[in-house]
Amino acid sequence: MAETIIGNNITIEGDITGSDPLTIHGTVRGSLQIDDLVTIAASGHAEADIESATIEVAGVVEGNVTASDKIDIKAGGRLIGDVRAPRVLIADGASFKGNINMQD
Amino acid sequence: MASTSVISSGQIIDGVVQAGEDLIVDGRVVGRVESSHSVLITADGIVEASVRAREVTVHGVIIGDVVATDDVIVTASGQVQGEIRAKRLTLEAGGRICGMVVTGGEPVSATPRPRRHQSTHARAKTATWSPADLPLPVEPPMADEVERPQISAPRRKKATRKTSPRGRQGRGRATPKRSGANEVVEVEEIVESSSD
Amino acid sequence: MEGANVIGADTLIQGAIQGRGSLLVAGRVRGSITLEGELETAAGAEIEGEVSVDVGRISGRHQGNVRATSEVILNAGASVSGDLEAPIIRISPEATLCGHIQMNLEIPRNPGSAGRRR
Repeated sequence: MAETIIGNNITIEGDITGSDPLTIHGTVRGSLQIDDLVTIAASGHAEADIESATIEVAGVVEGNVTASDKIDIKAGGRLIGDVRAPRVLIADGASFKGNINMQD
Repeated sequence: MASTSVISSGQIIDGVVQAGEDLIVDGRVVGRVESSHSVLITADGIVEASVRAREVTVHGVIIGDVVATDDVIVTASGQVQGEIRAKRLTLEAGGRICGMVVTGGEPVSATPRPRRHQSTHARAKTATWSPADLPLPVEPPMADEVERPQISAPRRKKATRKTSPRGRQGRGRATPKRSGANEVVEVEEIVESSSD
Repeated sequence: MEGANVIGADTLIQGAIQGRGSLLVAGRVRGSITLEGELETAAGAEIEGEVSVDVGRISGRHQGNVRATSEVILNAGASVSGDLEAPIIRISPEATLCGHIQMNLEIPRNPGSAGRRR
């Protein structure tokens, strides 16, 4: 299946939308609106609002994050912003600062 | 295959070269080159003027516009300084072009938008051009352009016969005659240079 | 997993992309691409914006200039509306181009010297 991978030597200033699962190892400044899955990998840095079904954060996210299914902040991950999702996982070793809204 | 006319290495032809067949330019031509078939510029060939044909292959140099109803091929040793309009362009690694290029005949748009109607003055990148817009490569010269001697490339296989150029294509237009004589001149015999 | 940069066929990026490495664009980009490396645009790709790379292998549709420090290759099916500038340019007969090609020519001045060109 097609996917979009932004490697760690790439920076994008702008908005990314689409249905391919998106993995960010590099830097994005703007917004992400992806149908199914957004993964901010350990080296990834997103200064962006993110919208998807599932959002996984192992890197750094500064922005508001909205998931229709779940948000998963991994150990070593860091999220600064508001989170809105029916399911929220924050691992031991993750860092989070913001509001959580788990209700529709 | 159609018979071929050759402008041989070392010759300089100042004028209009028209051929109703394949043409090989192995020398230097200052002036228009036209063929209803193909034109091949060898590695030693230099054309300083426009080239119009069905197909143009450039191993040498063209300083001028190139118009082809079919293919323009610029090989690894070829160089074109001028505009190129063709149905298809092949540029080999090593070949060089400096000029505007329009191929394919369709405007390019990443986002679909209504097609613009064809405009003859449009030089913008979205200009529409199709091979059907091209005049036939073999055309009678405009009256005010016939200051220069005009050379018609005869078929090599046929015996040279005394016939006026106007009888050749039925153009029905008076053309100037060289030396006042009513004759077709063999291209190979011409060694003529004119200082500018 | 660095170095493998891919814009999927169903992805749209509106904005500027820059960086190092290889980038394969199968989707759509509206914005500039500035890459120290090789850019490949797939047959269905659509790029609207300036491209500035080391090597450009184009099979998609481009609106905007394509400049490369090394080489630009227009493959069959490629469609470019914009200028091309690179030391080496290859154009397939099945590519479409509408734009200015900017290359340095070496035009012999004397007819006799034509054969002495490299």
